[in-house]
Amino acid sequence: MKKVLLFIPFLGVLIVLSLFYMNLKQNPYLIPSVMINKKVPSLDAPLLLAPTKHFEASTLKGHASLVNVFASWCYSCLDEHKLLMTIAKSHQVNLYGINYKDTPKAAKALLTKYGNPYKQIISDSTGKIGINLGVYGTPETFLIDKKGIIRDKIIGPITKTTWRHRLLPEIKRYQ
Amino acid sequence: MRRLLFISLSLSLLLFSIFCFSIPKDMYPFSSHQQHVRFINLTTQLRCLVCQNQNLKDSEAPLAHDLRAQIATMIQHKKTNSQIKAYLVAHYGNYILFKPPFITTTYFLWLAPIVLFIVAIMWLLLYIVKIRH
Repeated sequence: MKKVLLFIPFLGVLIVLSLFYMNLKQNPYLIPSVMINKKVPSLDAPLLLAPTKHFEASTLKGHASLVNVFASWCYSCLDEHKLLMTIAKSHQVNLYGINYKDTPKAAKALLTKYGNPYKQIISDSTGKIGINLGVYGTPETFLIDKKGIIRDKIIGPITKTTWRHRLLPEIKRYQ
Repeated sequence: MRRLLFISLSLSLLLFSIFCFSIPKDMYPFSSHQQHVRFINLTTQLRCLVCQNQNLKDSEAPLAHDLRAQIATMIQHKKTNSQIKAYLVAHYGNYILFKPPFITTTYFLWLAPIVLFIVAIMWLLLYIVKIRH
């Protein structure tokens, strides 16, 4: 019996090491969002393509929407742009854009060059709306249900896999 | 010869005075010294979400700049430290705090050292008693 007890420290070390090993696979840059299952904060800002008008909160009501935070200075945003165009053409969800800490000129140039997948684009030149949404990097994509509640957030570019296996089922669920 | 060297050195030193024209970034107009101290203390206790082991005070990330401006505005509007922290936690989660709060998920984190210490002391006492006998 005593001999067995001597192995307790070894077991302890084994448990700690396996915990370390399991956490090696975690990405520390993915900070879980606290905004999920909360009401979408105010997105009241001018529209990029019609600066005299402001984004209306009622726009998001009645259907599931994707809100994509992007900027012309953000290279990984370009990576997902093609997929965003495909998503827009599929008409499966309403896609809105938040142009984060950008100049209207640069943003418009990007849209002319690569196409505009967004139904409406909110111009957030100061980053204030980004703070309200808890954005800490671009691109970030929020899934908002028909009642205006945030249901998911994708950090980094959307891939075909995340679109098909994560976002699309969620859109159908929250439609 | 020596005079020329002196002039050349003086001129070189004079060049450094150019930097006195550089304007420090992030100067917020606080109404009192106390507010400024609070700003420094708060931004030291908060984590930058982009450069994760840096605090908001030292970080050069654009988001850190925006959050500093936001905190400064809130201090100027007479918000308390806990109100400001609550605002940031509401948007970015407890992750933004360097010191984790004492909540259900962190009980183990906070209490484990105390529990382990008590266990170790008891173990030691038992051992001493055993040796004495």
